[in-house]
Amino acid sequence: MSNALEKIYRKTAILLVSAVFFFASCQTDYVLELPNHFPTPIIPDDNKISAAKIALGKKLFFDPNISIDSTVSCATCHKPEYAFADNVAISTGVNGSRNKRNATSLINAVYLDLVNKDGGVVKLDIQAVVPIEDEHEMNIPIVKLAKSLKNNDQYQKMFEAAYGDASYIYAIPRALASYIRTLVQGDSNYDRYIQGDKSALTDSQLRGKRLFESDSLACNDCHSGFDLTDYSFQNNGLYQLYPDAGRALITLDSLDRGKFRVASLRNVAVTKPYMYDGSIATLSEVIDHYAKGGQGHINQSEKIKGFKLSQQEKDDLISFLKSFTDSSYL
Amino acid sequence: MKQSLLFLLVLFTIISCGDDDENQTTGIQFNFAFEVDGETLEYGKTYSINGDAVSFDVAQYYIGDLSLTLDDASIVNFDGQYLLATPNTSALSDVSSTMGKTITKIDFNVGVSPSENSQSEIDFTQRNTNDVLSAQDPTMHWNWNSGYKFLRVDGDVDTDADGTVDTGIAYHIGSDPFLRSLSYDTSISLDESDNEITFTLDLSTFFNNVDLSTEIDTHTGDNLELAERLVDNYNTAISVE
Repeated sequence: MSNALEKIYRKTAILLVSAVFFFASCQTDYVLELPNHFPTPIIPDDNKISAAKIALGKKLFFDPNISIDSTVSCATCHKPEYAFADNVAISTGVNGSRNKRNATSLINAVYLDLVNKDGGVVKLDIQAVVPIEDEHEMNIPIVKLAKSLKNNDQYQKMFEAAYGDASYIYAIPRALASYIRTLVQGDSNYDRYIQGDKSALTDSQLRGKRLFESDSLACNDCHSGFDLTDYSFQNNGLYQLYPDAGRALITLDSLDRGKFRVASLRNVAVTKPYMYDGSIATLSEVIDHYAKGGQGHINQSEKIKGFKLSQQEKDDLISFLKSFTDSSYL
Repeated sequence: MKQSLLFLLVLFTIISCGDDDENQTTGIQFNFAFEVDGETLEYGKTYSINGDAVSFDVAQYYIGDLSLTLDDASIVNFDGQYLLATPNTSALSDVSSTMGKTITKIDFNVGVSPSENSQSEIDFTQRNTNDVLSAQDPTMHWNWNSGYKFLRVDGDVDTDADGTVDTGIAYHIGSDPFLRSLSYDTSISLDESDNEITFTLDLSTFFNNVDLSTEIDTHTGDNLELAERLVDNYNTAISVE
């Protein structure tokens, strides 16, 4: 074999090995770190999580250039310091525009079957198209965004590493979903308590827990399970006349008017304001709403019947709700 | 009893109308026309509909499950194929078995069948860009509600009679219960020199019994009553010849 030919073979071999390492490092399934008491989420076969997908999704998540005027990123409304929710009733999108619902926390969104407060999106892998295209949020058609990102050298490399030659229209929402799937939390004082650390909750929080689970309040009828929600769609009697049809927008069934998914109470102390439209400012006022028994909408959940609490009991309940805070992202 | 003709290849290609069309005579050419009271629709031009000044910037709809009944009683089905009707476009279909025959009836849906509309298996981001069910701009997929806008008409209207069309209008029809089947008796003869079928949507008829100055939008679920009225107008607003 000639020296020249040998050099070519050697270089080719090095390139091949490098390529295999590169591909393997990018495409190997990523193992989600889950709290011991959490179930294993279902990740779709066509979008198994990888380090490259997470990196791309994270870059997209914090990049305002994915909005029509380069001013709004996902993190504009889903702020890490507020458990990936916002601290205003209605977040501001492009050109000062405002939508009609409160930004929801993205923590543990990996467990959602139906996404958005009304369950209108059937999989997390396409959910990001909602804010990207919504005229009140980022206001850019996914087709246009895909063309724009294709002209960016850094994104080109990241898309290729994450999704090979798949279309950007396919990859953009899936990369964002991959990143969001990593936002798992379950290490609050409450989590420690239910895993056996009986010193994790204060006396006040323990009294609040008993109230939370009592027959008269029965908060845990809906706010149940590892994620403190049963994921059902309920009308909580916020209004007598709902300006937002909620679940009925999707099902076209009047019996679903005013129904929204029961929100997870994880990090509830840092995700004010509350309700689907952010219309209630504090936890104290939320408790007042339920204590009054709601506004009596025709679809109101029959579980909301009203109750009476002393100030001490109310303080204890709020104290317990604060035990759901996991500060790892805050 | 209906009989389906076998054909080897059904290929829809959305193309722009233009001089190049003159050479594309294989199969059937589906043309899509949009009018306002018989006048060809021009985006941005102000029209008067039911006394209201209105202009349009988007008008398009999906045609699905198209079938052609021929004069020999055979039926050509286009199962699973969709056309996106937009102003001044055409779609070609290579169905040579129809040449020399007369189409006596045309059946089709306005919208997308539940299986494709659900997005649960294959969604709009997964489809090839040549597929009209892939992501479009202007969008024909609903992002907040998994599924497609079966028909979309956007524009502006003069709500205060000051002569300026400055209030946005948006009529987006979708969701499975709003899939509508239409059927038209026709006598369209197809041969090498005349192989065109034209679908025409007249917007003035589409807005019959709609007060454009006050009923400025429906995204179906948020205004079911208006959506139902609009869908009820399909039969008279859409013509095929």
